[in-house]
Amino acid sequence: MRLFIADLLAILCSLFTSCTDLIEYSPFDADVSSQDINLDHIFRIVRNPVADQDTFRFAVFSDVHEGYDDMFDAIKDINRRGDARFIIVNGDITNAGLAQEFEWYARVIPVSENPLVTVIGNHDCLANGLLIYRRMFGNPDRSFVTGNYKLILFNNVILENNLVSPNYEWLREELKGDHYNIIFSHIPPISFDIGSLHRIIYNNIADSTNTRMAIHSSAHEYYEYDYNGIHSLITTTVKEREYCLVEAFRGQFKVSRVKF
Amino acid sequence: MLKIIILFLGFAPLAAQVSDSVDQGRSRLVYYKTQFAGNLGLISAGAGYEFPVRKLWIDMSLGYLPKHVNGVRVFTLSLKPAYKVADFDIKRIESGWYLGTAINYSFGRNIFGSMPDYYPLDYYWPNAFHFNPFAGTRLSLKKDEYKKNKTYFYAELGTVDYEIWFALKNRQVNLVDIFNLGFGIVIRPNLNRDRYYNKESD
Repeated sequence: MRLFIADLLAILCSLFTSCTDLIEYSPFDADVSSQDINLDHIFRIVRNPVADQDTFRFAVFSDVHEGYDDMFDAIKDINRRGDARFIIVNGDITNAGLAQEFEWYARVIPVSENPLVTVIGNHDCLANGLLIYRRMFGNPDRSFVTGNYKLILFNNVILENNLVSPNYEWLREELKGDHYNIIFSHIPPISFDIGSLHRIIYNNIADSTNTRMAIHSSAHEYYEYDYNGIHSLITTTVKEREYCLVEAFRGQFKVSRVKF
Repeated sequence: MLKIIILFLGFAPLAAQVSDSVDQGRSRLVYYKTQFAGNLGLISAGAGYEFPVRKLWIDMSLGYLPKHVNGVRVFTLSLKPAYKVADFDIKRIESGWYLGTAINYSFGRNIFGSMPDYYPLDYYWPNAFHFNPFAGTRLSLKKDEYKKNKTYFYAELGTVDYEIWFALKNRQVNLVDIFNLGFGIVIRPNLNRDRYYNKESD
């Protein structure tokens, strides 16, 4: 009997040590295996500046939710084309902001041959999602410069952040300077998620004088429009088997919808 | 919330009363348990009742994931029915396989049983509830039925409702990705032991 118990304990111990992935404390746990993925990918973009400082092309898609296969296929298609310098995933990489969802999303990222930067979305802020995003991708408010362009990732989620105001002062500072600024924020300012007060604040900060383009998502539909003088784009969900290719040329932008 | 905790705390003595009221042949229907992991927190503890047919049992436990483990504090209240599908005994070891599903309700930051008023109606499903189907096995030493408390060791292979959905929808999520393990101990006190000894002395 002692031998049996010893065997049982040995099996349990080996399960503990070799199968840590099998140990889950809660769906709402915030344990993640990767840290600050965005930083590595931004380094890759910044380290290899474009030959022509004014011209480059990047791909953007969003609202992955549970569509990891669609994301995988989109990245494969972007790899095949080979004409995008990097990929921006414009938020909602999860359904419920759970760590396991973030893990499954992160598992698809290495498929990309190009740097891939992830923006936070409203679904990603549910439960402990904001904490998990910070651990896995870093600060949700972040900017980087490539060529003459400044790409600004801006967390404008309000409802799912317990009505905490977005960091408008940070955005105001980031928009200063001579770069062609592009804002990536998941929630479109025309959305009901952004209350009228926040809309007024945002409109006072970002306009045609300091922002060349704003890319949003969340609506699961494609729109290209002019908002407050800014060339604005809303990307549809990648589950619709579509991503956008944005070509930047001297501060102007041409958007192509690509079906895959 | 308070009502649920009171209900939970009241469950064990209620179950004990039920047990006391049954005859000696039906002794040890009440049990107490503690579990490690299995999506019930770092550790959970509770009480349960095994129906006299000995095929079906149900327990309620409260799990706790302390903040120092991974930076979030989560309490999980779990109602966990299970059905024994097979018995197998190896010499002095009594064992069996069972299936069940835990219905879990979690408490913590940004976890809601009903969504706050500032969300539009039906914008999100409340995220506090999860179903955790599981298959388990339990082992115990065969002992004198009347003299000793019974102790089981158990291991459960479980999953979570949304993980099943994700695995069904995606090639990127394998079946092995959605399973997790939980381990625990069940103690079934022999509540009728004193009555048995008293009878013997008579």
